[in-house]
Formats: sequence, C-alpha cells, structure tokens
Amino acid sequence: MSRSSRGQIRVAEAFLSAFIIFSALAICSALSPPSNVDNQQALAAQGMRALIQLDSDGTLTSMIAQGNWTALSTALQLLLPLGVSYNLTVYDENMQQINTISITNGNLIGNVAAVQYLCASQSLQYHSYTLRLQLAVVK
Amino acid sequence: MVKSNRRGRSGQIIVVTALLIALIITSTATYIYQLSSNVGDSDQYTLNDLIDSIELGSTHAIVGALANITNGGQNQTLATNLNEWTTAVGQQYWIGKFTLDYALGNTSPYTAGLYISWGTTGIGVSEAYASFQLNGSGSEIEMQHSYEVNVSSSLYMEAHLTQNTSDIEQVAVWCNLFNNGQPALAKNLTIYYRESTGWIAPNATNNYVLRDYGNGTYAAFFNVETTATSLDLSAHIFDLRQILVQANTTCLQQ
Repeated sequence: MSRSSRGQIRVAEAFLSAFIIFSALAICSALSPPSNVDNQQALAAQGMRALIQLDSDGTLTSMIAQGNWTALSTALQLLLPLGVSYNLTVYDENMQQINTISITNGNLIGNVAAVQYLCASQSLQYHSYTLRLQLAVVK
Repeated sequence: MVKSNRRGRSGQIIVVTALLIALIITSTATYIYQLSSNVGDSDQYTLNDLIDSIELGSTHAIVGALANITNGGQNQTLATNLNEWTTAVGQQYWIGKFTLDYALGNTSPYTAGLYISWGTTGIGVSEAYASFQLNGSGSEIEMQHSYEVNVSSSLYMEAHLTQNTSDIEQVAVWCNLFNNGQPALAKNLTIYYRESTGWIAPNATNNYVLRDYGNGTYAAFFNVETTATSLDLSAHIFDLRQILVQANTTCLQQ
C-alpha cells in the first residue's frame, strides 16, 4: 500500500471515529428529559409541598393570624427552589382577601402554575383560610 | 514487519476506542434519563399531597378544639370546629369535588370524641379522637380515603417531700409531658400546693426553682412552711399547642 493511500485511510478512520462519537452525543441530547422545573405540574407540586411543610406544625396559620406577611413571604422563598417566582393570596372563610401587602418575590412571567390550599388554624378560635399560590419559572 | 503491522492496526484501534467511548456516553445518558424519569413521577403525586393537606387541617381543627375545651370552652367546640372544617373542604374544588365526613370517638375512654382525665394519681390526660372519611369525585379522580386523628397531651407527675427544718418542708416535683406519646415541651408550667386557704403557686419567697431539661422533663423545687407530713400538689401545663393538661398528687414526707 502506498503512503498516500495509507494516509487517506487514516483520515477516513479519524472521520469515522469522530462520526461515531458525535452520533452518540446526538442520541444523548435527544434522550434528555424535559426540565422538571419547567413542568407546570412539577411547579404546582413543589408549591403544594412548600405549603404543607409550613402548615405541618401550625406555622402557616400562625403567621396568617398574626398578619406576618413578610415572614410568610420569607418562608416561601426559603422553601421554593431558586429561580421560581411566586405570588400568594390569602382568603378568609368568606373568601375575602386578608393579606394587606403582596406576598410575592417578583413578577410572574410565562407559564404560571397555580395551587389552591385550604388550612385550619390550631388557635383557640377556629379559623380556616384558603391560599392561592401562583408560581412561575424566572426566565 | 511487526512495526508495520502495529502501524496498520492503530487506525482500527482508534475506531474501536471511539465505539467504546460512544457506548459509554449513550449508556450513561440512558441511565440518567431513566433516573430523571423516576424523579418526574414523584411530581404526579398531587392527589396524595392534597390528602395530606386535608389530614393536616383536620388535625389542626382538633388541636384548636382541644385547646379551647381544656381552657374552659364547651365540649361541643370539637364538633363545631369539625363541622366548619368539613364544610370548608366541601366548598373547595381542586381536581374534583371532595366531601369529608367525620365521626367522634365514642368508645371507651372517649365521650363525644374527648377524654379528659386530670386525676389525683399524678397522671393527667387531655385527648381528642375522630375518624374521617374523604371521598373525591370528578373527571380526573374517583377516590375514597379514611383516616383517624388522635391528639393527646399527657402529664406524668411525681413529687417528694423532705423535712428541712422543724416547720419547713422541701418539695421536689418532677413532670414529664408527652404529645401523642412523644416527649414534648411546655409553653407554661405552674405548680400549686394546697394550704388551708386554697391552692397556692409557690414563688420566690418559697425559693421556687424550675428546671427545664429540654426533653419534656421539668423539675420544680420549693419550700413550704408546714408541719404536715403530706402535701397536695397540682401541676398545670400548657403545651406548645396551648392544650392544658393537669395532674394532681399527694406527696408524703420521706
């Protein structure tokens, strides 16, 4: 075999190797699952779980009863993943909005997931509240 | 000759290596994809989350009622709270329409869902119990779920009386508080001793010292001016949920 044809074979082999690896990478990129954070249902589930966690020891209704909206907003910010913006509205038994300030960490842009949460207070006087939490991924 | 063969094969080795690398990349990607798919499944459990939230609300309604009742409220508060809670659940619409029914515990030791025993043997119990049936129906769901909620606060009290001087007795009281069987912290604890004039809470004049062990165990020490060989004591504890539980005991001089 002449030197020039051997060189051409080497080049062809190098191209073949590169083709194989790039094909594998292409297959992998096609396999990538959609991001969970982008999924509205996943966002709603995360919001629901954040509220359940806050409600588990009565902290949620305690903050609502005290009108401590800043603490509630801070707690939500800590419990929700980074890059998620939210807007919470709290209603009393008569569906009257009771939060006097906005409980939010920014504007909701894009696909918005919504969670409705009902909770009861542990206080001596019974109260129930309906919470509407809207969530979106910050783009 | 051997050298020439090696040179000839080196290109094939590159291709085989590339194939191996490609295999590793695709298998790793497939593995990660499968893992990600499993994580994705957990996001579908919103119905379970919903049920959890309704159970939590039921528990809180009972805790509030028991706190109210032990603080002097009417026994009917338990049913009133649960009526309001079940109505509130019925008025909501999530992924379907839900109805929540409850039944107050009526088998011994409960009466109308309550068991409040503040006895004289050093044991006090404040407890409430109800069972629930949650039904959900809608275009996406058809479900039934039953659960029980038991809320209790128990106090175990033990006391010793030791003669300090001829007319001063030193009292040592140990209290253990439990919430649903687990050691729990108290929000407020008051010890009383009985004198001819009535129940008295010891204070600084009695050298009253309260020790909190941080695990639901509390010890109180104080002096009482008396020549009696026994003393009636009462402990009143509010747990962190504001449920009051009392226990009474008579301690004898050691």
